Amino acid sequence: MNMLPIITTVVREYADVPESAITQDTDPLRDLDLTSYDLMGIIGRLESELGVSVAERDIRNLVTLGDLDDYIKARVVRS
Amino acid sequence: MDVRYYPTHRLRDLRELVQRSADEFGDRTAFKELDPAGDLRSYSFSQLRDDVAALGTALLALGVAGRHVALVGESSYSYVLSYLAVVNAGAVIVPLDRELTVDELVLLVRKSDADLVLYGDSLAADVPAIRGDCPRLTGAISMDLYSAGTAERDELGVPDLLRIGRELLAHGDARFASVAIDPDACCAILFTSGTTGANKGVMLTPRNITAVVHGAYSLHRLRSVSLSVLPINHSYEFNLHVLGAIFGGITLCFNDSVKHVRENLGRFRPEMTLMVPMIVEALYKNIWREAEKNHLATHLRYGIWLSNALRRVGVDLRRYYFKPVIDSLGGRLNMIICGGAPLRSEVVKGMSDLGIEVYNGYGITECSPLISSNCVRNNIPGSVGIPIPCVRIRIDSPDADGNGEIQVKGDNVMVGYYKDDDATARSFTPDGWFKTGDLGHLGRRDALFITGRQKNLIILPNGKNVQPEELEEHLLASIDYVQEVVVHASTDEAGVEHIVATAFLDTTFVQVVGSDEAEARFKADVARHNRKLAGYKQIHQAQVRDCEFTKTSTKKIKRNVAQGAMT
Repeated sequence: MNMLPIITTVVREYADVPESAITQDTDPLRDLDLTSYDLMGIIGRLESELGVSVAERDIRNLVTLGDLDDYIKARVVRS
Repeated sequence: MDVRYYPTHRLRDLRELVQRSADEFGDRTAFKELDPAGDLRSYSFSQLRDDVAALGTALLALGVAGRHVALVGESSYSYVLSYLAVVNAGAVIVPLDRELTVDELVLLVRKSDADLVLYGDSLAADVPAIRGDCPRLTGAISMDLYSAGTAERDELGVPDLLRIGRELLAHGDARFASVAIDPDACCAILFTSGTTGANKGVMLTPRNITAVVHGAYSLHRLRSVSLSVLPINHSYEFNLHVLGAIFGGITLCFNDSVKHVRENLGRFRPEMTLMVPMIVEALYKNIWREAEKNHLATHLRYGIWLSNALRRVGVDLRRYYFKPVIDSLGGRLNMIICGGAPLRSEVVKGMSDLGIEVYNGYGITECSPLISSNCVRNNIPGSVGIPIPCVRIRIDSPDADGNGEIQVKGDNVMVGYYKDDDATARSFTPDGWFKTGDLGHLGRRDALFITGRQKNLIILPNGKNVQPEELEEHLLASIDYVQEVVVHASTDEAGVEHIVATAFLDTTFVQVVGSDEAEARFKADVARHNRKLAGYKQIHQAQVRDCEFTKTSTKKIKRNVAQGAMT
């Protein structure tokens, strides 16, 4: 299942950008000028909406939204 | 000038802190947290005293006295308990940042000469690797209070040690109570920033730490429930918020993750909190984003105008007018103490307009960390407040505008850097003042104003400090076609600092692959390099230049010239 549409919806609550500006390659910190605090809030929202858990120590490896998409998909499949 | 707005007791050490609070506040709730199942757990001041004594007794039985103990984990009651048991058992605590990578943790465990590591649940998977690379470590103790126990682990955990300690105490073991604590001996080593040659271990004593607790309470009348959101290994969060809460009988609620700040504001309904500018800015931005989304921004602006007009004639209806805003932050929040990095005065005013006062302060780990703070009795916009009692500030070699290096003397100033006499000597003037490396001046009503910094240190809005030389060393070592690189901060339109790496690449490499491809490869390699770094150290922007950097006569890059040309 592609999680990007859900991720995009949540990200757009934090960043004032059109949907077309968000892709698998988007780096939320660099491309959308979000802060690491915003990113944590986005991940917290996704956790509660999707019922997955993202370990804080793994977040440093999630550079793009595609990375986040892959990470969540792997956990959704596992659970 | 030694300003004290409120009378307060000056502690001798952290053992007196724990005992005095148990005597004074007894069964009042000291800490609240969520366990992994999401159930609320509470601990009283009496229990803290009893648990510290039990854990300390067990640690003494393990031979911890005089040893160095690394502490790394999430904010929790167990973390606080472990810290206080170690320090009051006559050992030296070494709090480490849990966001660091395994390699970074290994370097700091080695550098601190730690013999033992106490770790939180989130570090459990990394502990074998850390132990494998740190032969001096004789043990690793899990701080997890809530899982099954030793059956799932090879070694003892804090719950096991608490049980052993209680048994020893019941049989009359009085070793812990009779440990001789020297208020002027190092009890904590805190690493400032960096993981290579740049990082330094700040040695703090009980006198240093109790000085800032005393200083904070001399200026502030604090609230009864507070939310802990900042990393607990930071001196700002631990010395001021955690120890300050124990001192003042405040119930401190632990935010289980930065992912859940909003939920935990609603759950714990704090009246105050300590934050860094990035979080305050985000809360403020979110208030206006929600107002815009619900088509209430005009209404809110009118409410602020009316409220401010009424305040000018002595009528304060902010808690009534802006109840929905305050409710979105738990309903009772009215005070935020902000430090770690500069905060825009528009945000301070904007939050105040809505009924939440933000007091800016200033500190540095080497000063335990508090140096000055604004407070309700003396809140000077744009300043970082007045010096805390027992601290003297002077401005060295001021320019025509009165700006010079801020230098500090007082009980809060560290004894030195661990095993680094040269760095210690460089950090003090011949007459014993600590050189902060920050530039500023003393203004009206003795308030301190920060105007810049002498050091190359990058201070991010989340309060984290990054040593640019450390990142430059990494880039030069890991990307072979980088000939020169300067890492610096760049400020965006919102005034937020980001980390930027600007490189001059090997000319042969550029000729072979072409300049566009060379730049693309550099950006890709920096992105790859970022994955090896703690999140806050990651480089936000990578760029190349087509000529070498300007150098000094000794062939060092002129950083100020380089940064001036790039920002």
